Amino acid sequence: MKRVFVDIDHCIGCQACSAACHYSHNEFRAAIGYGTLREDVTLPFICRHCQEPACMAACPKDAIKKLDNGVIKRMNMLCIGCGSCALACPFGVIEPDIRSYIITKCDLCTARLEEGKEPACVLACPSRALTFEEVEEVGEKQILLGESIKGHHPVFRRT
Amino acid sequence: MGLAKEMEQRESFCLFCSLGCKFAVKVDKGVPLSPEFCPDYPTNEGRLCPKGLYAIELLNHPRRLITPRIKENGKFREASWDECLHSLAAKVNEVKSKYGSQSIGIIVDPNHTNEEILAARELSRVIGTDSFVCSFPPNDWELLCAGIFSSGNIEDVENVNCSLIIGDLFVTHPVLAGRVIDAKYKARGNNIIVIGPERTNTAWFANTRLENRPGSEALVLTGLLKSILNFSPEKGEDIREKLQAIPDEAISKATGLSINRIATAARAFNDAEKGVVFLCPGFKGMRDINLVARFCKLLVDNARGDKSFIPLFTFGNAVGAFNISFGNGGKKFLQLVEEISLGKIKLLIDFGEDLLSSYPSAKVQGALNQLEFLTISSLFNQETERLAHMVLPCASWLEKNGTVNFFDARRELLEPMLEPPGAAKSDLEIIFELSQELATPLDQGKIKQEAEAISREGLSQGEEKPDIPKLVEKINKLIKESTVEDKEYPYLLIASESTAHFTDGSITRNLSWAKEEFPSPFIKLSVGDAVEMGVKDGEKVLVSSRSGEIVLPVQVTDRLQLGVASVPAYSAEIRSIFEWNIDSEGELETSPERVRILRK
Repeated sequence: MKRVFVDIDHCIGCQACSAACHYSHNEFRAAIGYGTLREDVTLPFICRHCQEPACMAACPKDAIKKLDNGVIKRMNMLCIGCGSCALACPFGVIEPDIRSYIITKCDLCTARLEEGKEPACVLACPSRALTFEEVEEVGEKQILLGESIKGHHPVFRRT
Repeated sequence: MGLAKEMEQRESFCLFCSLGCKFAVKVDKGVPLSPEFCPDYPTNEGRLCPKGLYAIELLNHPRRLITPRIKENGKFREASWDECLHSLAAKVNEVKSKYGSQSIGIIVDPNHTNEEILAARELSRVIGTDSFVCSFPPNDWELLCAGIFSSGNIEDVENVNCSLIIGDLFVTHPVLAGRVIDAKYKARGNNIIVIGPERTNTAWFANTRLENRPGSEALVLTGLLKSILNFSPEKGEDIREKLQAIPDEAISKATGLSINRIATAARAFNDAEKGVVFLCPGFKGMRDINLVARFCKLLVDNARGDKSFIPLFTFGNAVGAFNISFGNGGKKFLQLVEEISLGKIKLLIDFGEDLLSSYPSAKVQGALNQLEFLTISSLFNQETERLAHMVLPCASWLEKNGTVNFFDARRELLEPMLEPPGAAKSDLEIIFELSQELATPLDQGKIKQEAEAISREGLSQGEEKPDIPKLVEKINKLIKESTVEDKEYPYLLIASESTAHFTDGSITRNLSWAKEEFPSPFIKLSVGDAVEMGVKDGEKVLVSSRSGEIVLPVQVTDRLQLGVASVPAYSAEIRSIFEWNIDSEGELETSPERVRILRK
C-alpha cells in the first residue's frame, strides 16, 4: 500500500503540490490545502487514506468509498455536499466549503496510478519533500535515518 | 485505458525563469488536459514549481486575445490581420517620411525566442532606426551586464558542501531547492549560508543567516572576501592590498553584521571542499547587482577548493536576448523611454511587454502619451492597451517554434504544443508579414542560421579581468552612502518575490490558481515598527515615496528588521511607488526605496 508522505525537513512552502493538484484535476479545486504553523512553516495537508476512515463513516449518502487498493475516493455524483466528511476528518485535509459534485479530496491520482505513474504532487514537488512510498518501508526508513534527518527544520529543531 | 492511448503528450520548456525546466502536456484532440512530467530531463528531473505548472493554462485560456483590434475614435474594434498590418506599414512609412526613420522604436520582451528577437532587430535595420531594445527588468539587466555566466553545473549542486545564496533562491527558483537541501543533509558539517535582509523561505534552511541591512549585499561579500584572504595568505595578491584599505568597522556598521559573524561564514565557505554561490537578485532591494556579481566571482576565484558561481535570471531567454540585443551595442530600455518623452520617438511597436504594468511611473505613462502611434502584441488584455492604437494577439512560447538560451547558455529548441488560439499569430510571423508590407521582406534562412550560432561556446565567459581599484571605489561609495540617513523617508522598502507570479504579474494574474492563492497586495512590517506605529494585522497604512503613494493593508511579521518594510513585486499598483532612476552608469537603480509609512 503506497501513500504520499511529507518530509517537513525538505518542504519550502512553495505550494507547487497544490498547483499540481489543481491542474491535474482540471477545472476542480486543489485537494491539497495549506496550513501555516507560525509564519515560518507552511505544510501541505494531504489525505492519509486511513484504514478506518472517519469521513466514510460520517457520510450519510455513502458517497465516500474505499477502493480495492485502499484509496478513499469520494463519488462525486453521490455527494450532496453536506460537509460531514470535512467535520469528521481528524487531520483537517478536506476543505470545509464543499460545493456539491466538486472534488476537494485527494484521490491519490487514481487515473495516474493505473497508468503506472506517481501522483502529480509527488512528481512536481521541487524540493523533494513529497514521496510516494510503501507505508511499511517509510516506517523502517524513519527509524534508520531518524537520528540524522529528523529535526533539521529550524522550527522543530530539538536543541 | 483506451482513452489514455488516444491522448498525446507534447513537450516544451518553461520560460518563467531562466532555469529551463522541461514539462509536458497531455493533449486530447487539440485540448490541453493536464500536466505531465519529464523525470529524465537532468535540469529539473520532472519537478516543477507553481509557475511551471500553470504555464499550461496559457494554452487555450478563455481570456487569451484572439483577434487583432484597431482603435477608432477612442474605442477598439475588431479588424483583420491584412487591415492591421497594412495600416501599420502605412503608418510606419508616414512617420518615417515626416520625422525621419529614427523616430520609430521597437521593444521586445526578453521572453521571445532568439529567432523573434533577431527578426525584430532586422526589422529595425530595415526601417533604419537604432531604437531597438529588449525590455529587461533592472535586476536581469545589471546581472547580464556583469558578463559573468554560470561556471557551475546544476546537477553537481547535490554534492556541494557549502551553498552561499544571495537572494531568495527557493522562491525565485524553487526547482533548485531539492538539490540544495539534499546537499545540506548529506553529511554533517555541510552548510547553507544565506545573505539577505529578510528572513525568507530560503533562510529557514540556512545554518548561517547573514541578515544585512537592505542594499548592503556587496559589502557583506567584501567582508567575506577579506576574511577568506586572511585564511589563505598565498592567494589574491592582486586584490589583498586594495581590500585591506577598507576598514572592518565601516563594513560592520553599514551591513549591521558583526565582523565575527561574517568571518564565521567565510570560514565555512572557505573550508568546504566543494562550494557554490547562487545569485538571484529580486526586482528591487539589492543595490548595484553588477558589483555584487563581480564580488561573487572574486570570492569563488579566491576561495580554497572547488567553487563555482551560478547567477540566475528572471526571464527564460535572458541570455539569448541579451546576446542579440546588446551584443552589437544596442540601446538601453530607459534611454528609449527618455527619447520618447523628449518627443524623438513618434511610433512604437511593442512586442509582449506590458510597459504600464512593469514600469508604472508617471514618466513612462507621460512618454507613452506623447506617441503618435503605439502598437502592442500581447497574450491577454493588458494595462498598456488604454494608450495603444492597435492590439495584436500573439502566440505564447508554448505555441512557437524557436530556440532559447537558458541561464547557463544551454540552447534548447521549443516546439509548439498546440496551435495559437483564434487568429493569434507568433511574433515572428507578425514581423515577417510586416516586413513584406514594408516591401523589404526579411531573409528567414539567415535569421535561422544566426539563431543557431548562439550557443554556450559563442558566449563570453566573463574572462575580462576585474578592475579592482574601480570596484573598491564603488565599495567606498556604498559605505559612505549607507551612513546617510533620510529623516523625511525613514523606512527602507524592498520587493519580495513570490512563487506564483512572474515579474510584474501581467500574465500570471490571469491564471486561476495564482489568482486564488496570491490575492491583493499588502505591505509587511516588522513587529517593532508595527507596535511603534500602533497598527495591527490587516489595518491600513499610507506608504509614500518620492514618486508616489499607495494605501496598503499591513501584515505584521517577525521576519524583517526594524525600519525595513517589504511588498510583493508582482503588483503593478505597488510598482508605482518605486522610483525609476538611472544611475551614473546609465543603468536602472535597484537599490531599496526610501519611504514614509503612516497609519491611516
